[in-house]
Amino acid sequence: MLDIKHLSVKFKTRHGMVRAVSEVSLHLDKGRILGIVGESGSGKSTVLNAILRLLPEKDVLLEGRIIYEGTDLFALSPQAMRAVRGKEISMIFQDPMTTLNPVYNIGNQIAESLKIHGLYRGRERERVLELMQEVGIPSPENRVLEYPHQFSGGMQQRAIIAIALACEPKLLLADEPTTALDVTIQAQIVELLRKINRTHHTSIILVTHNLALAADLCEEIAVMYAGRIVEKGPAEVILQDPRHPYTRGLLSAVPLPGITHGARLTTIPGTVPDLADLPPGCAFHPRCPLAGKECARLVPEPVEAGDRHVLWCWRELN
Amino acid sequence: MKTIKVVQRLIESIPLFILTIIAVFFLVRFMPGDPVDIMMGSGGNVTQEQIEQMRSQLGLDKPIAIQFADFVRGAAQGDLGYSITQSKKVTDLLVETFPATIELALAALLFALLIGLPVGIYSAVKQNSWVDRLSMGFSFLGISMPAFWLGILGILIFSVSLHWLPTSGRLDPTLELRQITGLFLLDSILTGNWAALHSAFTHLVLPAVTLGAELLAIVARISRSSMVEVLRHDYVQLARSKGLKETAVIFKHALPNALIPTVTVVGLQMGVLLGGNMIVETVFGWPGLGRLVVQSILNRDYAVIQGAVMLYGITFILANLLVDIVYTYLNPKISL
Amino acid sequence: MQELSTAPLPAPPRAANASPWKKTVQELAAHPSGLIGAIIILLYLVVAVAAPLLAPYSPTEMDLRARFLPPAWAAGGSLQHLLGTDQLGQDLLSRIIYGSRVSISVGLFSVLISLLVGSVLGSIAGYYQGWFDRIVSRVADLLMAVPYLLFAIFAMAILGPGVLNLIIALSIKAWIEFYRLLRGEIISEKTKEYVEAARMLGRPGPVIIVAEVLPNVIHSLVVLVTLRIGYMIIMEASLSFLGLGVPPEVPAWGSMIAAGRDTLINAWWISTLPGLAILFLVLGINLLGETLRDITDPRLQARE
Repeated sequence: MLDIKHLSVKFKTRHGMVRAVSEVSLHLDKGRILGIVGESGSGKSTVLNAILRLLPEKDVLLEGRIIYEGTDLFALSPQAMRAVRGKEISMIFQDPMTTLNPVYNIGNQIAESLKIHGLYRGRERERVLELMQEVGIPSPENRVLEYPHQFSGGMQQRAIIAIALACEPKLLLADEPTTALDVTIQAQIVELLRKINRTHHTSIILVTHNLALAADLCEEIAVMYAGRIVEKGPAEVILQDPRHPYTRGLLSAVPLPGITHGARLTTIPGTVPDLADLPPGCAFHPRCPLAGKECARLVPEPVEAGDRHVLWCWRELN
Repeated sequence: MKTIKVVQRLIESIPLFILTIIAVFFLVRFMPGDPVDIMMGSGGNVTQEQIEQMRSQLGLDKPIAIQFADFVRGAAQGDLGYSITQSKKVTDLLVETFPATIELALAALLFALLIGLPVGIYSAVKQNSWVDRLSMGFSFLGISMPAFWLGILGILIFSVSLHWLPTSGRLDPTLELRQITGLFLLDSILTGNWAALHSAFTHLVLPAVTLGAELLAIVARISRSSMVEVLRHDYVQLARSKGLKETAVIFKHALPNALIPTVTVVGLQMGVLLGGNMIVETVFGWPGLGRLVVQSILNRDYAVIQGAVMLYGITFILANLLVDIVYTYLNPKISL
Repeated sequence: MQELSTAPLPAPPRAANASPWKKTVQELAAHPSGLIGAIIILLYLVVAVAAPLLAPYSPTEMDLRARFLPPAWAAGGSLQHLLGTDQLGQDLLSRIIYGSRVSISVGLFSVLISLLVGSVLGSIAGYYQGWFDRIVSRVADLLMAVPYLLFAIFAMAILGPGVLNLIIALSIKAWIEFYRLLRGEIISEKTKEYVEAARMLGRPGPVIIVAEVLPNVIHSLVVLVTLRIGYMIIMEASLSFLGLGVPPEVPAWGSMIAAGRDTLINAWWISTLPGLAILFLVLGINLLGETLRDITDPRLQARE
C-alpha cells in the first residue's frame, strides 16, 4: 500500500544544502507494522514527515517518490494532499505534552479531524466518545470537555491516538509514540497500537530509537544511520542475525529479552556524525570496527543477505 | 462564578488603593514649594495677612492629621475639594478631563493592536521576508524613541508643514458638540454631527499615534516572537497532519496561543498608556487627566493631585482586571 | 518494558567552555548590529567625557544677536553654528554635546544603583527567604503597581530638580527587576546539588551565592542592565521634557526639546535635533542589548 522509492530530503540551511535523508526505499503492505530504528538525527522522523509532506516546502527539497495506494503523494496538489492527511494517513507525535493544543478541549480537537473531512456529520459527538472509549480514556462523557492540561501524559497520548484514528485512516505514522512516557504507560500504548493494527488492519510505521520496542511491535525493521538505511529485513532476522556492524553495535548496546549475546553490553565508540559534514563513503566507517579502505571511498551498494533481508555494507560481501 | 471572582479581585485591590491614596496625600505635602505662594505669585503686592487668610480658607493651616481626616470625610461624601488654581471643584475637573484621557488611551490601544498584531503575525509567518525585516526595524526604532519627540515630529510634519492635522485640543473651537459619553468620536456619531466627527478625528490622530507608537512596537515584537515560538510547537504540526488549511492552522491553532503572552505584555503596558498620556497630553494640549496631573503637580494643587491619582488608581485597577479577564478567556489553564 | 535506548552515546565535548566572556566578545564581533551598537555607545561616551574639548561654545553662552540661527546646511545657516542656535542664541551643537552628560550619567548610575540594591536584596531574600523576603517582595509588588512615569514625576516633584535626584527618583523603582531576577534564580538554584554540596562543605551562604549562582545569572544581568540604561535615558528625557529633570540652566536633551516646542513653526531644529541625539544613543544601547541577549540566551542557541 505504501512504496517509498529513493526518497532524499535536503534542507536549505545557512551552510548550504544539508542532506537529511538519502536514497531511502521502503515498502509496506496493508495491515503490516514497519519499524524504522535509529539514533536521533538519523533522519527517521524526517521520513515520516516527508510522507505527509509536513516539512516546510520552501526550505526543503524532496527527491524520489512516495506511492500510496497507487498515487504519487509528491505529485498531489496541496489541496489533494490535505485530503490525504488525517483521513488516509495520520500521525502520532512524540511528546503528548506539547502535541495537543492547550487552548481547545479534548473533544473539540478529536472532532476537528471529522469536521475537516466531513465525516460523521451530525454524529460527531457520538464518534468522539466512541473513539475515546476505544483508546481507553475512562468515562469519556466527563472528560470530553476537559483541556489537555487536565490529562496525564498517558491519557494525552491516548487522546492523540484518538485524533489520529478519527477518520479511520489506513496508515498510521507513529513518531516515537512512547518515548516521553513512563515505562508502564509505554507498554499500554504499545498494546493499544497493536490492538488498532489487529482490529482495523491499520498499517503502522513506527519510528523509534528503541530497538526493544521495535522488536516487540514490528514485523519488519529498517535500521537508519546518518540519513541512510543500513539494513532492513524481517524483524526476527534483524534481531537474531544482524549483519551490519552498526545493527550489531546497537544490539550489543541494549539487553533484549530472549536474545543472548554471550558477552557484556558494549557501546559503539565515537559519535553520530553531523549531517552537514558527513564522512565520505559509508557514513559509519569512522566508528566501524570492520572498516577498510573501500568504506571511506564509496557509499555501499545494497547486498541481499537473505530473504527480504538487505544491507548496505562493503565488509559483509563475503 | 466568574462574577464572584471578579468582585473578589476588586475587593482584594482595595488595600493597595487605600495605601496609594494615603501615600499620595502625605507625599504631596512633602513637595517643596507652597501652593499658596505659587498661586499668589512671588510679587510683593500680596500681604502676609492675605496669604494666611487663604491658607486657613483652604484648611492648609490645620495639622496634617486633621487635614487628612477632612479629606477622608469629604471623599466619602464624593467631595474631593477645590482646585486652588482653577477655582473649580476637583470632581468637576475630573469629570471634564477623564473622558478625554479614556478616548485617547482607547484610540492608542486600538491603533497599537490593530496594526501591531497583524504585522507581528505576518512577520512571524513570513519570517525573514522583507516585510518582516522592515516592520521589525521600525518597531526597533519605536522602542528606542521618546514618545514626546515622535509627537513633535508629527506636529512638525503633519501640522506645520502639510497643514493636514491640528496641533492641539480635541475639537475645532468653532464647533458645538452635545456631550453624552464625553468621548467625542462616539458623541459625534451618536448625535449625527459629522463636522464634529471629522474634527474630533483629526484632532485625535496625532496624539493617539504618538501614545500608541511604543505599544505598537511592543505588540508587533511580542506577537511576532510568540507566534514564532508557537509555530514550532507540535500542536501546529498536528493541526497540519489533520489536513487543515495553512490559514486555519495559523488562525485557529497558532494565534490563540500566541495571544496569551501578547495579552500579558499588553497588560503590563497599561501603565505605559496611563503614564505616557501625561507626556502626550502635555505635548498636544489634550485636555485630559494626564495634563491635569502634570499641571497640578507643578502648581502644587494638592486637592487635584489627590483626586486625579485616585482616579488613576481606579482606572489602573480596572484595566488590569480587564486584562486578567481577557487572559483567563484565552488561557484555559488559568482561572481568575 | 525496559527503556532500552540506543541514544546514550557520548556527546561531543564542547570546545567553547574555555572562556564564556571571550566567546561573547567574539560573537559580538560576528553580529554586526551589536557591534554597531557598541560603537555608537562608545562614541557617545567619548563625547560626554570630552565635552569641553569638543564643544565649540559654552553650552550656556547666550548671544542674543544670533538667536534662531538654522543649522549650517539650511538656508541662512552658518558654519559658526553647525547645528544652529536656540531662542537664547545658545549653540545647539554645544548644548547637545553637553546634554549627553546628563543622559548618560542618569542612565548609567540609576541602573548601576538599581543593580546593586536589587541584587543584594534579591540574593538575601532568595537565599534566606522568610520574613525579609516577604516584606521586600511585598514592597516590590506595591511599587510595581504604580505606573513608572507617574511615580517618577511624583518623586521628582518632591526631590526637586537635579542629576542626583533624577538618579534617585529612577532607582526607587528600577531595582525591582534585578531583585526579582536574582531572587528567582537563587530560589531555583538553591535546591540543586552543587549548591547543596557547597553548603555541606560548610561554605557560608554569601560565598555560595557569589561563587555558584552569580555566574549563571551574569549574562541575564548584563542584558538587563544594557536595555534598562536605554529605558532610563528615555525616562530622564521625559522628566526633563516636563520640566522636572535638571535645573533650567543645565543642558539636557529633554528640556531642549521642550524649549523648542513653541517655536516649532520657525525653528524646527531646536526640538528635533536633541531628539535625534536621544534616538541614536538609545538605538545603540538597544542594538547592543538585544544582540547580547541573542548571543547569551541558551534557548535561542539550542534552536540554531
